[in-house]
Amino acid sequence: MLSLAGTLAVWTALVAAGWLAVAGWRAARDPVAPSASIVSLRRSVLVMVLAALGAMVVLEAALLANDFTVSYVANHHSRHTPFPFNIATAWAALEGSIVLWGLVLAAYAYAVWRRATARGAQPDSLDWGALAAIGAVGVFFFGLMVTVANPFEVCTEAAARSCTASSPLPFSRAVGPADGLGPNPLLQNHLLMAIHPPLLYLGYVGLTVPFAYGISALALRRSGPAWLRRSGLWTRVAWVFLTAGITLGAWWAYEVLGWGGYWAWDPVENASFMPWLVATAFLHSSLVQERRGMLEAWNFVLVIGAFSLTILGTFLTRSGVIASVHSFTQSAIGPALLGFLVVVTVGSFALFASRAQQISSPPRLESLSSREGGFLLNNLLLTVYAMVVLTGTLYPLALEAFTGSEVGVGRPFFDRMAVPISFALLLAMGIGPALPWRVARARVVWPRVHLPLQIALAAGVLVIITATRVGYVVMAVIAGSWVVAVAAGRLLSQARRSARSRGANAWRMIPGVVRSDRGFWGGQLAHAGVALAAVAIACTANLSQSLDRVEMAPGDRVEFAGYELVHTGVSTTRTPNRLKSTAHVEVWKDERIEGLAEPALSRFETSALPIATPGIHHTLAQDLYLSVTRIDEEAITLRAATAPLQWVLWLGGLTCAGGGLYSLAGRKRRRSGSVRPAVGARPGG
Amino acid sequence: MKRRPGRAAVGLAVAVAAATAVFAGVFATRLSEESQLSDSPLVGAHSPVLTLPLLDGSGEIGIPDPDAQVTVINFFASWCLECRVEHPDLLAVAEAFSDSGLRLIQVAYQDRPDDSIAFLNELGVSPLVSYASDPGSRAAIAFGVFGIPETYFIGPDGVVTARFTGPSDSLSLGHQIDLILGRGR
Amino acid sequence: MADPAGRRSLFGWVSPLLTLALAAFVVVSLTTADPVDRDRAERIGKQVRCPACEGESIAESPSSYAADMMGYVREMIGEGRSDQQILDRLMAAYPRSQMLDPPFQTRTALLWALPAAVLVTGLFLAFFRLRKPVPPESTGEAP
Repeated sequence: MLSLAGTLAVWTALVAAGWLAVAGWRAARDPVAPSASIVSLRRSVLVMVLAALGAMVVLEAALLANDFTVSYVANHHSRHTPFPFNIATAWAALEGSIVLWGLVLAAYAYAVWRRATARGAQPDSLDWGALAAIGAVGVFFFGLMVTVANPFEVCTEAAARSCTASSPLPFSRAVGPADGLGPNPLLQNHLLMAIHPPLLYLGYVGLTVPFAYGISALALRRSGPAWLRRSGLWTRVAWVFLTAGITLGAWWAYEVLGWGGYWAWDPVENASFMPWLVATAFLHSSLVQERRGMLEAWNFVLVIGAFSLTILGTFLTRSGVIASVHSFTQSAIGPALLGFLVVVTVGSFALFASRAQQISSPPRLESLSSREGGFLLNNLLLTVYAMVVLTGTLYPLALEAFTGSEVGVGRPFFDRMAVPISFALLLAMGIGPALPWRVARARVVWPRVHLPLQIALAAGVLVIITATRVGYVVMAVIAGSWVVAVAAGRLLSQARRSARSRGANAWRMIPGVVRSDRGFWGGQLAHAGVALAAVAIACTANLSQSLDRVEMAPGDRVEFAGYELVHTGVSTTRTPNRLKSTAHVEVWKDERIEGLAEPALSRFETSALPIATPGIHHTLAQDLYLSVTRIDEEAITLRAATAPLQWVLWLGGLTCAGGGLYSLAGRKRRRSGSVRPAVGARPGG
Repeated sequence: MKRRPGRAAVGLAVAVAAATAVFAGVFATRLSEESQLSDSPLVGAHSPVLTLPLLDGSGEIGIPDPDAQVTVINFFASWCLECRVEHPDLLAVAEAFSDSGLRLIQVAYQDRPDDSIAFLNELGVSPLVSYASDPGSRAAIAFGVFGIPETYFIGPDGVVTARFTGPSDSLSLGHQIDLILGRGR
Repeated sequence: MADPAGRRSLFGWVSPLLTLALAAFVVVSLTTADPVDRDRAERIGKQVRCPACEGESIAESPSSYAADMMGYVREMIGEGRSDQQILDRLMAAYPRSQMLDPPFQTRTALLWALPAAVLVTGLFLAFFRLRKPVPPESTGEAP
């Protein structure tokens, strides 16, 4: 029954997406779009979003009803999967994650539609063209769902705990195992797993919208500020989700994976980081086009690049092509995604090349030392950064394919390349906001950065005297405080100026100043978040202490990093699908018990190796991170590490996303009033 | 003046599109790879030489067995589901080639001896097979084990001829052993 | 900026001097700081991808197989072997893709060259292509 409902929903969504592509294109091509084709557009958007929602609801229903005749449920769910992981199972495996993808894409199509037809908005052929492009992307993803990644196949042959053969025909004779294996044990360990993937998808899939506007503008030969403003808005939306999703993903890795880190530069992480870098570059370079009419061609490259990288990332992580040598997952989705990647990239860049003559904007940069020069530097650094990640991720594959020679590229390479680029970015963030547009004169810029520089150096001196002389940490503190101080200085001086003109107290003017340019101040808040994150990363990477595996019998004590750790015993809990052994470790400091950490090992009946869950003792200064590699009644093998200022990283990431969110809050107001101010720039700030 | 950035843009577009197409070709060849037989720097090289304690503590065994025509090393563990799948086939092959100079050694990987013994007692033990433990995982490191089950084939000259990852079956096991025997004679 | 002109001239030379002093203190402290002393086994372990896990090095991985590999590294350090000898022995049977730190060789040249090429191209475009052909004199920019 549910297979039938799900299959119907997916087919409906597929047809609606195709219809949207056709109707959108026809409406866009018509100079005065007739109301009939607009009505047709609206219907197709509504049908697509309702059908995609229906597919997700049916999948959830099948999971909650333990309907093991549905192949996805049989292979990825178990009766014993607890709430909320039974809900999250819907996107914990390949086919279900494509359903989520389709739903998010349809939701974005609906949001684009709403925005384009909102009261006061001028309906524009650009919007119809973008909807058509979204529809075309939808055809691909819903097409996956009815072919190679069909979650609603009927299980026709069942083994004890899984489905061994299934049929896409919903009327096939259904058999189902009595119970399934359940999702990957790693994915049912922490609440963050339930919210991190949807957030990441909202960001990842959201990059389809700016891409769609870019394609629409290219196809309709409508270069200029209209597409840019729309792409900028939707990039911000996607970027906020992507930033939050990446942060929560790192947090999840830290809380769950038990190795004490949060970022390993593995392909899955790189796949989300590359589009983030490119989207961040676009957020900045779009401002240059908005203010100065420059870099339009580059902006097209960035929106196409960001979207292509999301497809590349999906291919890399879903096809199994890059997983370690021993685990090839054979799935037909690999070639399909690869084909789509080629179509998207080659097609979009061919379209771009064919229009290049019309969109090339004249060079009009007066000086490199100017706000737009700062944005150029930022774009250059972010592009090089993305290139480093891309090259490092793909190089082993390419080398092996072309020469048969093998090479591994991992953390040491990425760290070595990323650290200098990140410092350069921090410095650019410190100086950029202080530069005026067009030409920056030293006598204007120096007063704006001098006091912040003193404050930053003083912060560095304070760190050296009170805490540490480790170079990276001190430099991160200096660079980070400089970024924050420059922004704060700009805020204060603008508030003072506005206070002077109105004869009011400067402090009371701050909210008004911030509200008057949410885009800029949201950006500064995001910069502050990056600065916080940079300091936290430098601290955790350089100041962490660790204790390698020690054997501890119950009652044993061990001293570590000023703490005394006491192993008080082991308890075992058995739930239907797992056996969890928890070590109870008291954390003592200065003859006083400070807390209790409970690292654990879980053995799932369905999985080979035990899954380690760390026990973390959180304090303001640092986390004490305990994990066990072995638990017995007689003894445990304990590892311990400190993670200084770890929480600041989560704070920084979320502040960064919050800055983007704040800049969005003010978009509507700015949009109506602002026209392309190519000449006669305002005073910088 | 206006034409120059246009040309740069076209160049960039062509470069990106070409790079994508090339990479797609690379990946496409890689996607079709799927085999029990897997590559290892060890294949074609001399087998590591080491001595392991027997699982029941009754003595030691040398790898590779100098007296055997074929030494087959299989890494297993009690917690490994796929090892259950291949276990009957390993026993059958040990039986079938017992007269041809086959020495099958099963090495417990990351497992407690008690658990390994219980696993073997449950699924079947044969006097034709040697069972060893691997303290400190030295054998697993020496053979380059990733995940179990893994199986290595060593010829009479001590050269590793093949490596299987994942559950093996009697047919492919027999085929690899035949290859060695055919060459060894 | 908002300061009265008189105060600015009075402190005009104190302030840059303070900046210089602070910067000098930082530079001297950092250049004379002892280098961070990392455990040798950890340094070696960080170059090896754990075969039984995803992404992490054997120095970081909590898996017991990684622990065994680290134990082997420590044992070889105890035997007085060099870093290279230890890596060679440890990784004899593993493909080179298990090493996390790519060597600097001709076959890995593009790995470093491609990002560098992007950097150089970008700088070239910024300096020679995007600027106005004739740099304008003062545009009347107000602070």
